[in-house]
Amino acid sequence: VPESTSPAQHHEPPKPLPAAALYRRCDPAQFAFQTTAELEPLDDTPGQDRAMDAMRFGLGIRREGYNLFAIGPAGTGKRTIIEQFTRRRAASEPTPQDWIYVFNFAEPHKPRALSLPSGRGAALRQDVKTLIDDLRTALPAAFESDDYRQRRQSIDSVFKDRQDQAFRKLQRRAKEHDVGVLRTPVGIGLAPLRNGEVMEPDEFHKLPEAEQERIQGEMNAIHQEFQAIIEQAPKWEAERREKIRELNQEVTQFAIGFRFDSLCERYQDLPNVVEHLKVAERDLAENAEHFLAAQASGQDGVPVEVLARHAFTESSPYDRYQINLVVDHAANGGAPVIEEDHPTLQNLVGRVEYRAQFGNLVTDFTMIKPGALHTANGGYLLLDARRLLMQPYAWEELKRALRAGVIQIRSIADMVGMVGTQSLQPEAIPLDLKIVLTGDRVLYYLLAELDPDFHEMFKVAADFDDEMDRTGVSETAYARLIASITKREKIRPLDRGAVARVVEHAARVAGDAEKVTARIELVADLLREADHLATEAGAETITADQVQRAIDLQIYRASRVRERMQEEIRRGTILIDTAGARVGQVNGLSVLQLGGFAFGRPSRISAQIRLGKGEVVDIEREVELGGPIHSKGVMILGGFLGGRFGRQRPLALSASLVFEQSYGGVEGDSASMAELCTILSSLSGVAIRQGIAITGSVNQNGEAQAIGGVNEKIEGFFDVCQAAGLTGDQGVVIPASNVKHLMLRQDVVAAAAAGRFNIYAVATVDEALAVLTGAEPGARDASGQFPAGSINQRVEAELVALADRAKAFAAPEKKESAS
Amino acid sequence: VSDPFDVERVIAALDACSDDLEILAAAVDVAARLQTAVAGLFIEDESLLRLWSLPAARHVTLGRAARDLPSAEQIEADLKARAAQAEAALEAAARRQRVPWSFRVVRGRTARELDAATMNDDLLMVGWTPALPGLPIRLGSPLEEAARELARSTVHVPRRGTMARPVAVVRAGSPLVNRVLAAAMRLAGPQTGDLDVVLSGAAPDILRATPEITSRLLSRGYRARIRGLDDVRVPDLMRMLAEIGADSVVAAADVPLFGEQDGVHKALERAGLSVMIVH
Repeated sequence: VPESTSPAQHHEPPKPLPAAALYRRCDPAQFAFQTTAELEPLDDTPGQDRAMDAMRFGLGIRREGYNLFAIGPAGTGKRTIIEQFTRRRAASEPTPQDWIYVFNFAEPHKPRALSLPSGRGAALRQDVKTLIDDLRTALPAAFESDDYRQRRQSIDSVFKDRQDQAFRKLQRRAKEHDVGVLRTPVGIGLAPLRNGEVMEPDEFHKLPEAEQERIQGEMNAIHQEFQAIIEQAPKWEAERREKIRELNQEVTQFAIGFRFDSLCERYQDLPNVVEHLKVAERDLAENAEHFLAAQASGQDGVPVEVLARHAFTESSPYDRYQINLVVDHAANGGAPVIEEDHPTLQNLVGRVEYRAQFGNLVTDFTMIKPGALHTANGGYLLLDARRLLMQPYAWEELKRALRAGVIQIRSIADMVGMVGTQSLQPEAIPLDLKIVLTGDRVLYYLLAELDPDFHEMFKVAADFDDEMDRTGVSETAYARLIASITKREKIRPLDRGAVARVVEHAARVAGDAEKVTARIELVADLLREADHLATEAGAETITADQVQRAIDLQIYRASRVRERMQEEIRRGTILIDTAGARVGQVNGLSVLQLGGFAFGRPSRISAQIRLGKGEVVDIEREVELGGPIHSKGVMILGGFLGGRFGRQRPLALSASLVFEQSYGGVEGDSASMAELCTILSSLSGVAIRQGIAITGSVNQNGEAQAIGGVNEKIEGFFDVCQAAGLTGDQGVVIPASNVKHLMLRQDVVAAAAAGRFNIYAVATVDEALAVLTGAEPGARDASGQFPAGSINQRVEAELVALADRAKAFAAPEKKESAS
Repeated sequence: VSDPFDVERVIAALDACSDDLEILAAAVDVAARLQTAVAGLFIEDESLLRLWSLPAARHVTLGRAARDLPSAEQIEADLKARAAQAEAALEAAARRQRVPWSFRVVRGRTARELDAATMNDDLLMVGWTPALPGLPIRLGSPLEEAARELARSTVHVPRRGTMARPVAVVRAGSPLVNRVLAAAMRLAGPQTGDLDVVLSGAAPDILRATPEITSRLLSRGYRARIRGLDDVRVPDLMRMLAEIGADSVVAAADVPLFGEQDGVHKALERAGLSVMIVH
């Protein structure tokens, strides 16, 4: 059976890419404008058609659970887009109802929620306030009238006379029976009299027993009558109070009746309001003594407990008739769009506030404060998913509200079952709104995976792309997007050269010559900074030079670490050769991402071969510095070696791979082609040119596969080579499938154009080997043999030799075991 | 010219029902204003002591359990303690104001002992006996009743009562006008100023009496502010006193309201005013 012959066909070594392939320019001449001031701003964001369609669908469908989750990386401007989109839509929608909380006269701890047409809540609040102000003067006036005084005195007199008469009658009766009534330190004493004086005890004892008994009997009878009157007194007092209460109600009703009637008439189209006003009127009439107490504490006839209640409270007795307007749409047209930037539980569902009073915390319905769900009800609520999830209980309570379809004000203390101070249970308010969450993809997929409620409640995903196609049309659209940003941010216009440079930079940010980034915020940052430079230069428009200078400054500000690393390579602390050739050693390339800045870093990768059982040892993985994808890439190398060279005999090698001077984690498979080349170099003994670095992953068939960060990697090695001196023999091998991603720095492009630095695009590991070694990799012929002296032939020969040696080592053991 | 209101002593009387020792300080204050001595008199009413020893006696307990009533021995001890407290309070107040003082305890019938202990030129001061809780009418103490029947000039002082800004209340044409005005002026102090006078009676009588009262007060440096009332009734009088800002009333005994059984106490209860009834 011949060894695998595909894909190791004979190829000419790849030629360096032309400079034009390294950077796709944006031609300013394609633009029909001189500056962006001539451009109409965009209504929509280009390249986000899928997300916008999802938005239209999600906001349009009025079904339970069709809330939106806008997915996309930060900086795509999705929040601005969503806000503008929802505001446009909301403006044409009906304005929702106002909501008020009022006192619940039946259950004071459960304030009632009433809805009114928009704008009428504020009117009702003002009307009730005016009514209360009227009552503050009208009620005392009614109680100070001569008519009231006379009727009140008449009641008092009747009861006073009744009491006086009863007591005087009793006193007379006592006197008739020679019984004295004396005030004592502890009450009243009753004693038999003799000649107007209290009888001497001795005198009493000398009386005949029958007489003593008669006196005792009389004393008992009078004593019982006294006790009866004293027991009767509180009943008379209660009766008097009831009469006064009835009088007060009558007077109050007279003073307030026509005022309430007028108010009820004004709100006759709102039965819930009229019902509340009727109950309030009845309550006011029944509690007239509260108003007397509030007006004139100490006034005769006001029950002591009422006075005490007013003495120890800061609230007015009129407070309970007030209107707490929690949702007021008087000033709004259309549906509300609320963006809650701090979505705590309380900021979402509202709160009941408290005030300290004599060391206690007290509250009432006027201290109910609305949350974002209240203010957005009937419209749209925009929330940042990450911030929402970071707030205790906010996510759970939001889901509960959506599930139940009502807003119920609950505190964290309620949620965790803590015993709090006496609180209110405000009536729940029906909830009807769209929620738009924004967040990144990871968050969306985590919620979808881990929260079973998520899909039920957020059925529509608006997936914002982080890049868009770069075509002639979209470059023009991008120019309009730039114009939109300049208008919004009050940035001076860009000339078309500057626009072209921004487009090119947007492609570089996207890491793809055929795309531009959709992360609008990054572009906006660049424009702001270029505008600042233009201001300093006194320019009226932003030019390409100012854009480039802004880009350079961004890089300069962020590149301290990169420069330190380059310096250490230049000084020989980090060992990177850029000249000569070495067996089993290659320059790999990796990307470091620090903050928002990415740069390439060359790393020396070396391989060592010894007798073994066919395994490729990833030293990074052994010491737990290699990530799973990196390990997978290394294991693929074993697959490749087995597929190409291990069909006839076992692979009796053990290959060790290491990133030299790497002390951090290594992840990704972008070095797998470099590692394979190193192993093959080590096996074949063919040296690798150290002036060429290589990046790319490889599959088991030896095909090169695209990797990320190709521009940064090339530039990272270019910088090292430039520092050492460009020779024309230096360059970078990349997968052919990465050519479309090339948007290299201008100095790199210039060096390539001058033939001083070369970029090679390879489709296979054999092509890579050809570039790296300058030797013929070799392909199997019809008999399955590699050409003599080719790299593959030398590899195979070494593997045969290793296998033979392994066999020789194994043979004596076999004999021993046979004997 | 002798003063129509010449007081020999101020006698502060207390009994077992008087629970306000501040009467003693008020009496010392009045004595200081009148530049006379103060005498404390604590009367142990023998009727009360008999009552406690009499098997036929009954107590209307007013909410107190019968078993909690004090015994005769406890009443005796309580009287002694109250008398000692009163003496100490009087001594302290008198020393503070450097007013000559004396104090004695007598036992017997209250009316008789009070009569025996006071003379016509004495000013009697009687403390506040609070209303009994639950009792629909006010029942005065034996001391209050005795003071009312004694027909001597008497001051009834409510709890924390003062007599710094008196209002004179007289009946037009009454023989007591001069004594009342003199008492009011002496209480108001030697400084010149306004003195409010409420004159009751028919309008012609009031008009007739006004010039004489005005000139009499003016001769002593007071400007008379006279208000007429055809009949002195509690609500009208109270409103007038509130407008004036008075803390006390010096009233002639022949003004009907102040001669009534409950007249003084109505005023006391309603407004916390001290009332001097001049005989």
